[in-house]
Amino acid sequence: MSVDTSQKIVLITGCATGLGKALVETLGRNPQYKIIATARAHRLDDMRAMFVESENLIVRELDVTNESNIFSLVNEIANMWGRIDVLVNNAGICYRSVVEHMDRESEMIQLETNYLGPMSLIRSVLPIMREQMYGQIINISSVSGMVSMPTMGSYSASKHALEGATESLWYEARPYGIKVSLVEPGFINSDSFKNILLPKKAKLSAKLKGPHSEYYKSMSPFIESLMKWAFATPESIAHKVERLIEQKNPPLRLRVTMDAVVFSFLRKLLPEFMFHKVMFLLLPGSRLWGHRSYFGNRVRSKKLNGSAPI
Amino acid sequence: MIYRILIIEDDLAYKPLWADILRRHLGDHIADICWAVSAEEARIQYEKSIATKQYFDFIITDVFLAGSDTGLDFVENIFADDQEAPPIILISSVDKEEVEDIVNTDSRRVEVLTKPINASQFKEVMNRITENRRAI
Repeated sequence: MSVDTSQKIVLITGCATGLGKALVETLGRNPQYKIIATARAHRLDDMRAMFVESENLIVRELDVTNESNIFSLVNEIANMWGRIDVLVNNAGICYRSVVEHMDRESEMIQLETNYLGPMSLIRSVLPIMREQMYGQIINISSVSGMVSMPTMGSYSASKHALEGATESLWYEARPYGIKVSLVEPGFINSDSFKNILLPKKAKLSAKLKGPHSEYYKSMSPFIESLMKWAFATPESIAHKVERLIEQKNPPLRLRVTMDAVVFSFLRKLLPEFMFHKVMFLLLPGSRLWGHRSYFGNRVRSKKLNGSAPI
Repeated sequence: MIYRILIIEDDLAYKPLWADILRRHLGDHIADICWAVSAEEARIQYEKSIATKQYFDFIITDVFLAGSDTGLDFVENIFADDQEAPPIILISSVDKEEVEDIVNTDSRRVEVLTKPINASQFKEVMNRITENRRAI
């Protein structure tokens, strides 16, 4: 089988919305690329309405949490085009919850989508890239991969895991000519990034103003307003990813929004003990956290002082 | 008349308080107070009570507990399996009416009390539970 190397074969996950969609649109305008745009089954109709399939663009179903789905897609691409040049692990979800309100099932969904799925994809394409002595793996991480914020513990854990594995992979893939990069966006001005998931305990607490509801009450509007005022858009980040693909020696980490650059700088500048204290003071409403003053109930101290009148 | 009670509460500071309150209301008629800090553990104890036929006479549960499930999940699970489940007193530090809407207290033997618990309200609830039991 003769393999055509004049175009790069690019596999992108999570293309129905946000950055994935922008990546397909941006790379799709460049005849240098053949793109496999993927999304979960329930988004495929939307995808086929958005993107016109051609010899340079195909749309396929891919649930990154389903390993056999991954294996058969990679097999199909390898049979069809004989190679895979670029993998962009973009699909991801975000649970917003304090650590106490997460449950095992939600943690697993978070990790499977943001960490285990990308790892399965990497394991599937890596032998092909190693044989062809060329390839590029781009993992879309987040500013949460370097800084953890309250209510973002599980999401941050998944991105920290992705960052750790990617850093190892950088060393392991380099001798085979395989380039590995992490893209770290922060706040992006896009509705799709407001699609967050709440585990049932967080949902209940937010609804009933239960324990930790003050975190949701202060953090959610804060994050949404930062997204609203963010300069970065999915399209601007997609252009940066395109440039990353074109680079001969792409960096391991690429911070693609202003806040990601600032956070990275602050982390280097401030000693750790100071960084977290400064962050705590800067976060809105942080002085009220734990006091549940939003509904006037300083629970613990009163109870232990015997004022619970039962 | 002897009572077996299951208390589901993740704040262990309440343990002596509950023992004291229940003794005040039920005197020496308490056979056993079982304690669980999570809905998951409570479910195990509840199922064990059915298997051994050492049934609980009533259950007291907080809304927010250790583990993944809440007191509301526990109520849902218990009544999904058995409409004749023992009465449940749901102790909530949050809005009573909203909790009542979620657990549908009209069709189930669930009483909702808010923290800090008012002594007279608790007495009323206990009276209803003990009278119902005598009627049975």
